[in-house]
Parts: sequence; C-alpha cells; structure tokens
Amino acid sequence: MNQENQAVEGYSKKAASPYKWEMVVDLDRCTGCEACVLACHAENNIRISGEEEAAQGRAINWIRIERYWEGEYPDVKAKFLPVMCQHCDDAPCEPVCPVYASYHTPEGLNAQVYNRCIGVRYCGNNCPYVARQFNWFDPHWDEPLAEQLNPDVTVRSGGVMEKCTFCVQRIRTGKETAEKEGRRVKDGDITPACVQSCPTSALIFGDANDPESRVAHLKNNGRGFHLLESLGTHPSVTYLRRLSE
Amino acid sequence: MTNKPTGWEEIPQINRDLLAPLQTTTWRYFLWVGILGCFVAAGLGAWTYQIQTGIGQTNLHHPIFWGSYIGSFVYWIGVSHSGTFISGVLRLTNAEWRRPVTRMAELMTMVALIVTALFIFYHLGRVWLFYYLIPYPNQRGIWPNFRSPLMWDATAILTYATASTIYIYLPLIPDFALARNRIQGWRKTVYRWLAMGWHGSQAQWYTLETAIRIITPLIVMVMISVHSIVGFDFGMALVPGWHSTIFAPYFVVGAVHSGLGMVVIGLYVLRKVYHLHDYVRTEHFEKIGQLMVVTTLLLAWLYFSEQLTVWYGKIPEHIAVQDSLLYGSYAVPFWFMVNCIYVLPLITLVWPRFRRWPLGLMIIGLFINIGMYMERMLIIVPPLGHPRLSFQWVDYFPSFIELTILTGTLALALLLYSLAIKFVPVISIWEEKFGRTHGQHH
Amino acid sequence: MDNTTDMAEQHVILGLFDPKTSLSPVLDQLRSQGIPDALMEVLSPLPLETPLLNKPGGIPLHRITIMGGVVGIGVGIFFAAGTAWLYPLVTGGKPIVSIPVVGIISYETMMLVAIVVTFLAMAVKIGFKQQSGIRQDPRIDEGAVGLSIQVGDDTAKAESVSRLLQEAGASEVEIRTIADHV
Repeated sequence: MNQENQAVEGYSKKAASPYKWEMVVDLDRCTGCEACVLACHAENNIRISGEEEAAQGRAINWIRIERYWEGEYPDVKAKFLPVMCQHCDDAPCEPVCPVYASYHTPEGLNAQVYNRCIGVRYCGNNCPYVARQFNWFDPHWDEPLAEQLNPDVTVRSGGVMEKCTFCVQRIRTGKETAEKEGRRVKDGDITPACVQSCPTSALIFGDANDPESRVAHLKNNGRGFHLLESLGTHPSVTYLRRLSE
Repeated sequence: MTNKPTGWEEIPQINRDLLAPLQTTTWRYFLWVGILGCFVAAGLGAWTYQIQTGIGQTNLHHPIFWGSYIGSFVYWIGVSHSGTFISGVLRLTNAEWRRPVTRMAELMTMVALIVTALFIFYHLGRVWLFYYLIPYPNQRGIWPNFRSPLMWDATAILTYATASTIYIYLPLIPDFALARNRIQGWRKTVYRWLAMGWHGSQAQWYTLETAIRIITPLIVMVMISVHSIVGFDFGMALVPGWHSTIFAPYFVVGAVHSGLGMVVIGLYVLRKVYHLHDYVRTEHFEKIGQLMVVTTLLLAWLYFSEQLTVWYGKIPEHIAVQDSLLYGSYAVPFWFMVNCIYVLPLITLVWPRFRRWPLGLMIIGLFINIGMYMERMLIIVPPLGHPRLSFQWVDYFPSFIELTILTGTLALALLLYSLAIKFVPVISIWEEKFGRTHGQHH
Repeated sequence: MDNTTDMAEQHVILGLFDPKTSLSPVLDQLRSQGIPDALMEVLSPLPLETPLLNKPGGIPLHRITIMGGVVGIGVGIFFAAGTAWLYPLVTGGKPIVSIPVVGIISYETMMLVAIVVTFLAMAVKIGFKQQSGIRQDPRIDEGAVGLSIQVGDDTAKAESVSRLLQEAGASEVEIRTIADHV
C-alpha cells in the first residue's frame, strides 16, 4: 500500500524518491569505440543475434553508437551519437502499454517488466529514440558465452520488449550498500556498465538530486541539450555539445 | 385494411428462392470449400510455426514493430463496416433499396470481425499470455492499463462484435423460424433454438421491430467509434506521419469505402451463383455505385488535406515520410494505391451508365479493396521506417510466413462466409416480403 | 388462467385468413362474445401496420435500453477510473485517472450494456411471454394471416368461435385440444 501511495505521489511530484538517476553523454569525448555496447551486452545478458539477424536489422543493442557523416567527400567527418533509453520523465512508451509492462518508477526510471510484456510492441513504435529492442526469437549464446551470464539480470524470452535499464541491478546494489551503512548513495558509488567501460569518460552517471554530483554539474555546464528536446519527453539523459567542429 | 396492397402472392416464391441455397448444395460448392480449407490449413500451419519459433518469422525489425498483421487488422475492421453502414445507415434513413443487401453485408461484418480478432493474436509476441489484456480480478493483482489506446481498441471491438452479432441476429429470428418450419434434420433443432419460439404474433413483431429501431442508431454510433479508435491507435502515437487529428474521420470513411467495395463484390458473386437476379437488381448496384462516388470523394478530400498539411508545413521528419511515399522506396505501391482507391473509382463511377454495369462495379470494388489493403500497409510501414533519428531508417516487406498467414486468413474469411450462406438466408426474407407488399416494388 | 386446474383441457382455434381480409370486425365480434384480447393472437409472416389487439406490453424496451446504458457508464467508469485507482501506476507523466479515457471507455461500455440488455429484454418478451398452444402453421409462412384463440375447456364456445371465424371469411379453421400445463 505504501508503495502504491508513493507511485501516486510520483505523478504529482516527479521525484518522490531522494534519488534521480541521470546520465550525461559528452559528445566531445565520444570516439565511437563501442566499448559501451560490448560492456552492456556482457552485463545485461543481451542475446547474441549473429550475422544473419544483424543483417535483418534485428541485432539487439541497449546502447548504440549512431554514426552520421557530415560534409562531402573527401572532406567528411564522422559524428558519433551514443543513444540508449533516455528514461524520459514523460515517456511516450509508458502510457501506450496495455498491460503496464512499461511504467515509471518513483526514482524516475523507465522500467520494463519483462514477465508482464505480451509483445504488442506499441511502446517500440512510440519511442522517438528507437531505444526499445524486441526479442524476435528466444535468446541464445554461443559457447562459451553462455557461461558468463550475469546472475543479477533476467534472461528475456522471445516475444518480449527490452531496453536499457541504467543497469538497475547495479543501482539496487549501490542503494542497498548505502542503506546498510546508513548513508546516502555517494557520487561514483553506482556505475552502469557502459559508463564503467568508457575509455574517454564520455558517459557520466549519477544522482541529479545531489547538487555535488558530477552529473548535476555537467548537465548545467552550458553545453547540455536533450535529444529531440522539442517533443517534451523530458529525458534523463543530457548530451553535451561538441566543443570543436 | 381492406385494400391491402399486392405482393402477398409472391411470398411462396420468395420463400422458395431464398431458402434454396440452404437446401441444395452442388459439388462445386464442396470443391470451393475444400480449396479454401487447404489455404486455411496452410495459414494455420504457418501460424503454429510462428508461435513455436518466434514472432521473428515475420520480417518485422526495429523500428518497424508493426507490419502486415496490424495493417490487415485495420483493413479487416474496415471491411466489417460494410454491414453496419449499409444496413444501419440505410435503415436509419429508411432507404427502401437496402432490403436485399443488408443481410449479405451484415454477414460480411460478422466474418470480418472474426478475422480482425485473429490478427490481434497473430501479432502478439507472446500470444499465450493474451489474457493479460482481459480485465478481471487476478492473482497478479494488476488490471490492464485503460490509458493505452490498445485497451480502448479492445473495448471498442468487444462492443462492436457483440453488438453486430445481436444486430445480425435480430432480423434473422423470423427467418430462422421459417427455416425451422421447412428444414428437417439436425438443423431443425438448431433453428428451433435460434428462432426463440417465434410464431409471428403481433406482439412479437412489435417487440422485434422496436428492438431493431432502438439498436440501429446505437450500432451506427458504435461503428463510428470503433474505427475512430483504431485511428486513435495511430493518432495518439508520436510517430511522424501518425500523429495527426485526421486519423479518426479518415479511418471511418476509408472503412466504409472498402466496405462498400466488398459489398459490391459479394452482391455480384452471390447474385450470379444463386440466381438472385429478381432480388438483387441493377438498381442496387447503381445505388451502391453512387455511395462509392461519395466515399471516394470524401476519402480523397481527407487524404489530400492530410498530405497537403504535411507538404506545406515542411517539418523535416514528416516530409521524410511523405517523400518516401511520393518518390521514395514506397512510391510504386503508393501511386498504385492512389489509382486504385481514388482515380479509378472516380473516373468510372461518375458515369451513370457505368454504375448500371454490375460486373464493372464488381471490378472497381476489387480494385478499391486491393488499394485499401495497400493503403493500410502504407499508413503503418513508411512512418515507422522513418523515425526522427535517421540512423534508424529501414524498409520492410512481409515475409513468406506472413504472406501465408495473410492468405490463409483471407481464405478463412471466404470459407466462413461460404459456410454462413448455407445456414443463413443471404437475403432477409421477411424484410424482402415486407418491401414487396408495401408498394416499394420497383 | 390462474383459475384453471392442473391438467385442464384447453381448446385452441386457429383461423387462416387471406391477408386482404380485414380482421377488425371479427375481432370485435369475438370481444363481444367475452373473449379478452389476452387470449387472442394474430399471426403473420411479416409485420402488420395496424395493431389489432390491445395487450399489455410490459416495460417499454427503450426504458430498459436507457437503464442498461446508465449501468454501462458505471461499468466503464469502474474499468477506466476504478482499476487505475486500485493499483496506481504512473505512466508517461499522465494522470492516473484521465477524463478523456474514462469518456471513451464509458462510451463503449454504455453502448455494450445498452445493446445487450435490450437484446435480452427483447428475447424474454419474444421467447417467454407467449401463449401456450400456438402452432406455427406452414400456410402462414406462405402468406396467410392466422388468428389463434384460446377458449379454455368450453367445447360449445370453441364451436361457436370457429363458426364465427368461418363466417368472417376464414379459408380454414382448426380446433386443437391441448393439455394446459399452467
């Protein structure tokens, strides 16, 4: 009952929880190396799609590096844009789900409840960031990859929608540790797999409610913008503009 | 009462003619049913395979999460509007010529709705959990989310299916009673149950006619709401090319357009097969032809308004979708569709002489339906294939499994219709009698 | 028919008329013989315009429809608003109970319940509220109008009624005797 009340308040007052998990993507630092993509796969038990499925456009990536070319040959530049679920405050994917598989947690996360999902895929259509990925078949991992599944993360069956969770399992662990020690989560306690693996520190994660956190500083440093901001989805991911062209 | 108009002497003939399809069946019918059965079996096999192996047997891939199944869903629910529109609206406006057409059209509504429901199941990623959509107190402690347009849709379709079943059943009661009195064997028992003890007393006629009079306007309102809500499924989404207010009226008119086309096909075929020339006359084709001119113009007007707004507004994401239709990867189906549903019907049907040519009308009906099927696909696929982040732009064409299921379902619709006309008189017998005895005999 | 004993005999007379024959005079005569409208029934293969008999109709159908509609609105409000409140989950920053949604769902359930209830009421009126002993005559299907009269176990009365029907121009008159189970 307590939790339900919390959820109701979550609507009226967006941040019912003391935490507000946000991410900052510094485009000036991103080299497009895709280490984050790989780390995400390993951490989150994302199925291995293989060459054939990838060619069909079915490779599942919770985070992807979009590559846009600018200029005319030979004077071209590759621009990289890491895109993951933006954990929008007003997420278009949430209300369209007929079975509440997609909903908003009081901490501002956009949650996907795998075992409620029946695969109508409306959320996928309605996500302007194409962050949502669908399991077209049951998952499989080539040996020996099947030996390295993360026990903290559900393996999703075929017919289920999935997407970036901000590594919710790590957020849980971080919060539980902090709770045990009777303190707030400190900046840097929690690092999602992509953030951990980024060699240039282009990805920064933290609690935006903590004014001292790096996320809170960076998102207000004047370079910040949101992806497709005009849609009013209020994403939790802030991108930082490139410094030089 | 003394000078009752004539027409009563035709009653035995009407009984004989209209019950004949129920009583005699040729080998050709069995052959036809057998062929359809094979296609249905193939479709069923394909669906089983898809359930077993995964929804990936379709060619869907992100961001095109909806494809041929939802397109077909929209198309078939459009066809289901044929019956309600023809019989509902024409009954409301007291259009006398409706009499021989209503039953055939209402049967189409029923069949189309069954088929429509199937497409929801084909589409689900985990179809075995479909009951999560049903609102009932359950151990999961959670109800469906009625804020989702899909739940509006489910509610509307439930209402529409229930109401149409009732609506087709009401005028059938006196006909079932007639069949009960005339047909022997196991069917007699079924007819006796269905006739609910009908014996044609004045009180019964009064009750029946009152019920029809009450339900007719209601079902017309339901019909309009149903396809509006199907339009809302798209209109509520943020997808460029979907997010538009015009979808509700556009879908309703489009549904009636394809529905009328389907009715013309049905009329033509049934008239030919069961020699109903005395009942379905050129005049009926002519009237439907006139209605088709109206729906063509209405639909073209709505479509033009929509596309013009996008074109003039020049919002890049929206223009990307439009460009893909006008001269991009979907240009061929798009222009074919435009010809099928707008140009061709308009240049032919405006000629009164053409409207009096049943075969010609049937062919136009066929084109309209092919065109509308493509139109439904084109509403779904190009917008999904052109999300705002252009890195994700993709194309889509249905897979073999999808096409098999689509064909199998079309065969199922034809099969159900063929079976239905062996059980239900294709023309409402008592309404036809009523029309003849009340001086409306043209 | 409350005063009849358990297994009383019941004579039912069926007269068949040409649809051109007016039934009003013969009905008046029958009424003057003391046969109430409740025991008479006019049978026809298609609806006749003028009501010939005066029978209590029960609750008018449209009133049942309206009541059904009101109940349906309640059902819709329960589903769209009630279930959302039972387990409030925030989605997309939208209100837990949103009025347009309640409107849409209530509209559909209003129509659903109204139509179903109307149908059920009609079925009760057609199927259950009928006189015993009425038999479907195939000649009525072929375009005759039938007049069916119950006269109880009074054989003399049955004969006088059947004479009266013949004089009124009935092409065929039949007396059947059935066991009344009322």
